[in-house]
Amino acid sequence: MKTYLEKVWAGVRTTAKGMVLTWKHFVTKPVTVQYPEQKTYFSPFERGLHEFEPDKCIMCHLCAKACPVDCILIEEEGTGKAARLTKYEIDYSKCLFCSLCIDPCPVDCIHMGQEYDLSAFQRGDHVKIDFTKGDGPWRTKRTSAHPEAGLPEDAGV
Amino acid sequence: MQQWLDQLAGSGLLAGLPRGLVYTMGAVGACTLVLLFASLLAGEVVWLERRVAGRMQARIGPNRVGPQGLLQFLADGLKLLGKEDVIPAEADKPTFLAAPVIVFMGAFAAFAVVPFGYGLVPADMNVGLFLILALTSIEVPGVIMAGWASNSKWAILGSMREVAQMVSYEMPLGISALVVALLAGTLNLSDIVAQQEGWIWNWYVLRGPFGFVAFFIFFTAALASLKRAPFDLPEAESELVAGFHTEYTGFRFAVFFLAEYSAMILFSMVTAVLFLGGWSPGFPVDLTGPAGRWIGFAVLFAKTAFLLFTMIWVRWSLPRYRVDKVMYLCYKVLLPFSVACVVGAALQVLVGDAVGGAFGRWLMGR
Repeated sequence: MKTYLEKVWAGVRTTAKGMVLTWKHFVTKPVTVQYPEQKTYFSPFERGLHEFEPDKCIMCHLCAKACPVDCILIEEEGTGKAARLTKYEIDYSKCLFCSLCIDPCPVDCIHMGQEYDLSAFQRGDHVKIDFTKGDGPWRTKRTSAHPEAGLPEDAGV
Repeated sequence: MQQWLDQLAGSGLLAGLPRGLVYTMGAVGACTLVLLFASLLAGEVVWLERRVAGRMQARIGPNRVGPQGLLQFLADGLKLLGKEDVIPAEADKPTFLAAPVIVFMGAFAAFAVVPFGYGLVPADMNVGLFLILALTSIEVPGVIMAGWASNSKWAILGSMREVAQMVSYEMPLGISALVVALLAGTLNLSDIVAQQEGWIWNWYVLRGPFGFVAFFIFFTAALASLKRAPFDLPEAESELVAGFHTEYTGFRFAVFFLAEYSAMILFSMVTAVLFLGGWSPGFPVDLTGPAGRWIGFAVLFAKTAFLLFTMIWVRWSLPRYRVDKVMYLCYKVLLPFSVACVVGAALQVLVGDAVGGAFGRWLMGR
């Protein structure tokens, strides 16, 4: 009889304990980031969509040679000092964001950016981006994984 | 209701109509109102459940359809209406088709005797409490039919568990309701509320220890007969796919869903009426007037919402019971405690009368 009542009391007590725990969670703030309106924090070392500075590029093709999946296409007009960049296209259906194109560049004209939202309504949209044309996010920002960006607080190095 | 219809029949546009037709129209009108109330509120309870569940898991929950996601249930309902209505080839067709109707009827018909406010009762009966317990049991054959007719092992296992659980939990449910019936001396729900008017300690949950324990037993047994977690063995997603409604799709599934949530609202209202003073707000105020009864309805609604929130809170707090533990809880814990409460309540009425009578005689003697 004593153990029976103890069991019943233990049942009531543990139920109440569990309910109090979920109540504490109920009154905390949700951790959800509502994506299209709010965006989460990214490290400066985030490897998103490339940022490219066409004025600096010397058309050495080192990035294209370093690319393991051959997704960089470079076209130019003229030779020597008269050479002019006409196309610098990255095929994002191939690119694996490995950042191997960044390191060999002798003039630091290509960087990995913060932009990650590559979704589009049509299959062909946004798959190939020519960085010499248009003014997408890659033309304006310099928030890349460049040594000048410095270490983030949570880099752990 | 009948008095009001009599008044209506004796005046205005309806004066020339036969009395029977007026009654029929009144019944259909009341039925439509209650159906709208139950089904719309059930939709919002689904929304509430998902929002509360989200907050308890540090998420947000559905907040995109309509203001704060309030119209989510319409989107879900439309989606279910657009689904193909599949009837399994080996199913017992007439039984399969009848089952959701019977389950929904059991959940919905009992609203007829619930007092929404003073005089706002679709059918004011002397046997109201008994009728509610009887009508909610109609769900059991419906569930057996659904499980058997589906011709699927998940469905039959789920419906067997459901029947065992519901039939067992009818006992503590009925016996703890009997505590209130004893204390009130009536089965009429309007009279039971009338006896709890006045200050908050007139509510049966606070009138003595037996009402207090009976309240928790009633609520637990109601959770079990509603198949809510932690007693959701008949639907146990991780074990039985979806239990007895595994084979149901589209609108038929929606009917099962609606029945489940209307039964939740019904049991919350009945618990509020029996133990938490119904439309009485906890202090003496006259709510019998034409405007006051709607305030009473709002008070009852607030209590119902609190109990619905508690049901949802319990669901997202406690893990599911094992089958034998469910039966242990019913037969070895709730049943003895509820019987003890009935005996105690009977003594309370007896002693209370004796003491009250002696006190009255002492007062009169002065």
